Amino acid sequence: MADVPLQASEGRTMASIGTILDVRGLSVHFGGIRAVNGLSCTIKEGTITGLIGPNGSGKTTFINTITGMYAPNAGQIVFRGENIAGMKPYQIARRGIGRTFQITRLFPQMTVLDNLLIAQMHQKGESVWLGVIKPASVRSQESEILEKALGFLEFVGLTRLKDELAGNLSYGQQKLLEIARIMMIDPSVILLDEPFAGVNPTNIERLLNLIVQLNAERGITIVLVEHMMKIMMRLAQTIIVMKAGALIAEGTPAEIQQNEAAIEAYLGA
Amino acid sequence: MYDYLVHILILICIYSVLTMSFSLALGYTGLPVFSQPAFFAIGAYAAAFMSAAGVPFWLEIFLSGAVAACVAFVMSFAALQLRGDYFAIVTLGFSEITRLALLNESARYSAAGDVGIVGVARPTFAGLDFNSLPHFLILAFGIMLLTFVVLRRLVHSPYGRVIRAIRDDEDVTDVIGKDTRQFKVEVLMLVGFFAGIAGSLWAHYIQFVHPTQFTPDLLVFILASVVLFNEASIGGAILGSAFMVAFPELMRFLGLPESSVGALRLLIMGLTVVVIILLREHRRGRNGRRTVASE
Repeated sequence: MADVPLQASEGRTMASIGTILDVRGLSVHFGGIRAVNGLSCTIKEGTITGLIGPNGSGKTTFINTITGMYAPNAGQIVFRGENIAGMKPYQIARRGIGRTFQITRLFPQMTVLDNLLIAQMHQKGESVWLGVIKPASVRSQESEILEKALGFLEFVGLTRLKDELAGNLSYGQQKLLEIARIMMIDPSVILLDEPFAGVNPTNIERLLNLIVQLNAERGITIVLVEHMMKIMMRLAQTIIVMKAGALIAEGTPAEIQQNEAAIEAYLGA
Repeated sequence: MYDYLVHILILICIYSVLTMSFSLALGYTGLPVFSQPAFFAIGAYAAAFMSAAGVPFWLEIFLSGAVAACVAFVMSFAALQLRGDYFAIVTLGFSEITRLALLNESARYSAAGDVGIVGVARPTFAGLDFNSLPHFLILAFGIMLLTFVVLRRLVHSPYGRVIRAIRDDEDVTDVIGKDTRQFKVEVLMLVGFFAGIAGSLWAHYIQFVHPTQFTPDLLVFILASVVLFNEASIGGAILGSAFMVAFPELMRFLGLPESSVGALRLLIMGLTVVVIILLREHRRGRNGRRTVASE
């Protein structure tokens, strides 16, 4: 299925600067189940790409594999010219790929603020020696991180909850915190796995604006799994349709709504 | 009476070093390192051998910790393949294997059978003689204090933040760019190091080392001490150790009927532990905290 013609990218003015993520023939098998089966696709830098498909079509497996939680059985994942397939999750995160989870996964017994502070890369105080001694360099880095974290808390509107345990937040607040946390790693790509699921309408609007802001103002490439087509129409420049672990269509939201394979597989009549 | 009191205090200091390091692993990192008795034993044996060979005390106590840390490092290759309960079982198995190996090997090299190591000398250090009980108490208290300061500073640093995150959700900690495996190896080595130091103190204090001192009973004692007040608290581990050592001793003065004193002491001890844990859970429930530290 990898030879499906790419229908996108013609006549579009938005930032088609280049490919940031190039997935080639990716396969992930669990025993006899081919969760992702020879998938190839490219993600353009600075875009919002939507990923849709029926339940069990391999969307989450795809994200888990890009972020290193699963090792692929075959294929390459080329990020900025480097094959990251099979790397450990922390190695991939350090290259600037962040993600959120379908069901939020925070550190429930840590405060909201600590959930952000921890996500900063390359902290000097994360070595045993420097952690115990806490020289001036560690303390000054710590106050820089604190300032940055407070900035992102402000950004998602959770400042007044900074000392609350993350496990005590409402579900919508947890979704916001999860996005703030991943911003702390200074990502160039964020993979969002159903960020709107279970969020009430007020917070949906807030999340939508947030995602647009991250993309437009900070230039972060976003890959979004979402079932609500209305949201996809508003956000995504390109949509990738998956079925049974393979790509069956790719194009602009308008094109996908006309695409017969996509309609049959997912959108319904 | 005075010597008796000092003896109790020395035991509390030695056990506290052991339980504080266990709190680092179980309470903060969520690692049930049930091989604590083995690290304690290795530290004690290392100290006994080095002491007999004339290694100066300050170097010998450090090396006892280092040897136990190295053993912890080697063990980590097998143990860290697993998580949660499975990790606990493997480390418990490692502890028993170590104890049985010590038992059988020492029996092999001695015509008298398994007699342990007798007559470990009380240390002398920097012109000071720690032979008398009060002097030894100062030494043990100093080492406990040092351990407390080091571990407390560590858990309140960015390092402490990462290990607490590993306790809460290891996979996510990895996804935000932390090499969780390395952190867990380091925690295991720290646990081994401090348990080894406690073992060294133990050998010098009791002046006799034998595998029967390092049975799973010791693990139960450590586990109870750490979980009693708050497993994620270095100071809580000291309080817990003090309670577990001192409370049974205090009951000597209750004037319990001699015919059933043994059974009654255990009964009161058990009830008190249950009450403390219940109060603890009640307090935590109000704060909306989850209580299980490991997965």
